[in-house]
Amino acid sequence: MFPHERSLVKRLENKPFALIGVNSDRDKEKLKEQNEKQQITWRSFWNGPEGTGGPISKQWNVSGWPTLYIIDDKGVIRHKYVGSPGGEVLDKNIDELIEKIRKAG
Amino acid sequence: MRRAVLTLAPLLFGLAAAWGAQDKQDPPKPATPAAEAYQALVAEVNKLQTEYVTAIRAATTNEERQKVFQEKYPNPQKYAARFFEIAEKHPKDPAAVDCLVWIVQRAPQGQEGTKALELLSTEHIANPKMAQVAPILSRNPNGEKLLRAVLEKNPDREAKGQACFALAQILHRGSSSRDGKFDEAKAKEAEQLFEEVTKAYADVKTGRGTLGDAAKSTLFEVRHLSVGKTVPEIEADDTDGKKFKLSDYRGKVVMIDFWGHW
Repeated sequence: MFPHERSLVKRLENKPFALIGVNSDRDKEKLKEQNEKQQITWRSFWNGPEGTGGPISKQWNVSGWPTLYIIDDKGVIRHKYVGSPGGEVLDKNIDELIEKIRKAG
Repeated sequence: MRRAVLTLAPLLFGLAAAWGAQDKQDPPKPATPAAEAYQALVAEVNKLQTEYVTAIRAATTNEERQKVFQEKYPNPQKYAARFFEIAEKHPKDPAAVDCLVWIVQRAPQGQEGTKALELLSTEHIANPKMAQVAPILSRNPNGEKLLRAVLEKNPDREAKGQACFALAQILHRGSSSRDGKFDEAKAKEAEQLFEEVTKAYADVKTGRGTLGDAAKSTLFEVRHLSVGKTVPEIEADDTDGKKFKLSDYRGKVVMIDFWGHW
């Protein structure tokens, strides 16, 4: 996931796109260390000290990691995956939605 | 690594826990030869299981645990044939159903698992013990058909409730496919079935709580987190402790990733 996400963020840095994480690591210090090591530059909500049992994943009924949602510019959920479908599928779905904004704009 | 779905990780130990819990719930049975044979076999396997769990807990390194697993783990698959034999020898005895349920709960993968499920669905679809089988069917390729049959033909409230919930789970999962397509009819029926669970079967117990609670959290997902719905707000601290909102990014395409380094 990380290599694809890094390239995704880089490829779309000048496009109307954002990758937002919901991070479920319990230990914030280790998390920071790992983020630097893995070059995680995108922003994440923190799910709190309960880790995967934290309030956000609980409310969203997340049962597998990673769970991915792709939201359009109006805030409507367009795609949803439990377990990554692979970089190609994600790229295609995200690019289509960005293209729609360009055509409408 | 991150592609592996995390929920599978504690399977081994979860299995051991579920095993212990289930056997305590079994009511005492009349002493027919079949019931005696069933109980003796359950006792035999449970004894080995207890020894295995004790040895696993005593092991201190991964290597030791691996060794204990290889030497002592009582693979249910090895016992499935013996349970099936009892069921075949005494098809009319209530203990036959216990044997079949044991097999589909613990050893669903082998040929006995397939045969046991077939017998349960052709001969025992109205048996109250289908309540124990229904949760397993939510992961079975023929699950949808069998669960619909349980819902229609089984008079037992617990069995109906478990079937209703498991069927809703299948439809809910099936409504959004791997390639991102969305099946509205399935999603709609899943929602109706989860609602029915909260109304008619809320107090039915599961391994972790009640069907009602489980259905409620899934209903939030169905109503607010399905494809086509407006995403609910998230307002929380980021990993640096700075508060922000998901809606700050409205106007952009957003991919939300539930992740962790672990």
